[in-house]
Amino acid sequence: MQHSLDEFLASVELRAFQLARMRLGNSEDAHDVVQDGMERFVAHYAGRPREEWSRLFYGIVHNRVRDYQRHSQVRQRWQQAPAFADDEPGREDLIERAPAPSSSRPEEWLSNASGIEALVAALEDMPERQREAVTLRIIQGMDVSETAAAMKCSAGSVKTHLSRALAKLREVLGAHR
Amino acid sequence: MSSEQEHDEAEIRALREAFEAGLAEVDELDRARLRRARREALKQPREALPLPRPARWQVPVALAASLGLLSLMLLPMLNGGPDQTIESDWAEARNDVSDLEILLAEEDMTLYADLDFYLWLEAELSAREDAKDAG
Repeated sequence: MQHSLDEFLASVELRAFQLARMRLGNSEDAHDVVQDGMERFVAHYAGRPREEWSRLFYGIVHNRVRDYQRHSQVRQRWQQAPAFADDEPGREDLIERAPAPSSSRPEEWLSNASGIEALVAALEDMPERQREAVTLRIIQGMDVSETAAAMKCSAGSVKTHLSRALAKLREVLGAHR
Repeated sequence: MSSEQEHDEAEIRALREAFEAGLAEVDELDRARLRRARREALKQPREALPLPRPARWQVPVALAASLGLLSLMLLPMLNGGPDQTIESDWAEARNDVSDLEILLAEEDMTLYADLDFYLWLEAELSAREDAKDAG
């Protein structure tokens, strides 16, 4: 069991890290997210069937990324508020230390990012099943039947979820070209 | 396979290759840190996480829920035994409590702690502004 769990985590850690880093815009938070995700997964989900592990692990990572984004948004809102006078000590430090905003604006995807970055940014607003299909099929590299087994649905449903996600991505990218 | 499906498959392949290319650029330091995190995670006891410390607003909510439950339990005794209405109220109350548990468990408690801090900060800053205006 321990060996199998180690193998599984080894197969997802790098991809989860890259995914979190692309969504959060920095490596430190991405490391925290992945470490926390692995700990939660081992503590709570290691007893679940093996074919569900990928879906569950990426689900935890997704939720942790959202938590970090929400924290970051709250911090930014308050740090950008005109609460401090311009000459107040520490004001610049606070702003400089603020984490980079995680962008989900399509025009920004196009100006400085490739298709995969646009897709990763779009995960934020995707319905859960589409996000799972995209994560397992594209990020984790599963084939259609493995993805269907992990999501407990038919191969046809996996294709439909992916097709909708891609159509939405094309629409968003196309509208801003 | 229809041409639309072929088109989707080609896009999926291209996106996957782009992601794989990004993985190759992750440096050895990050990889080593991930291996260390994995080793630490595998030492985790497989049990439930400790319950988060409740935020200030959760205490009265939990108290109100407990009182509601207690009154539902006592009412049948005062009225000489349970009836159908009380039974259904009791079932409904149990559902409400499990909803509350789910809501509390799903949220990140540190977020509420931070919000508490920012609310306090707002009060402090507006008091400072008021004092400045008054002065």
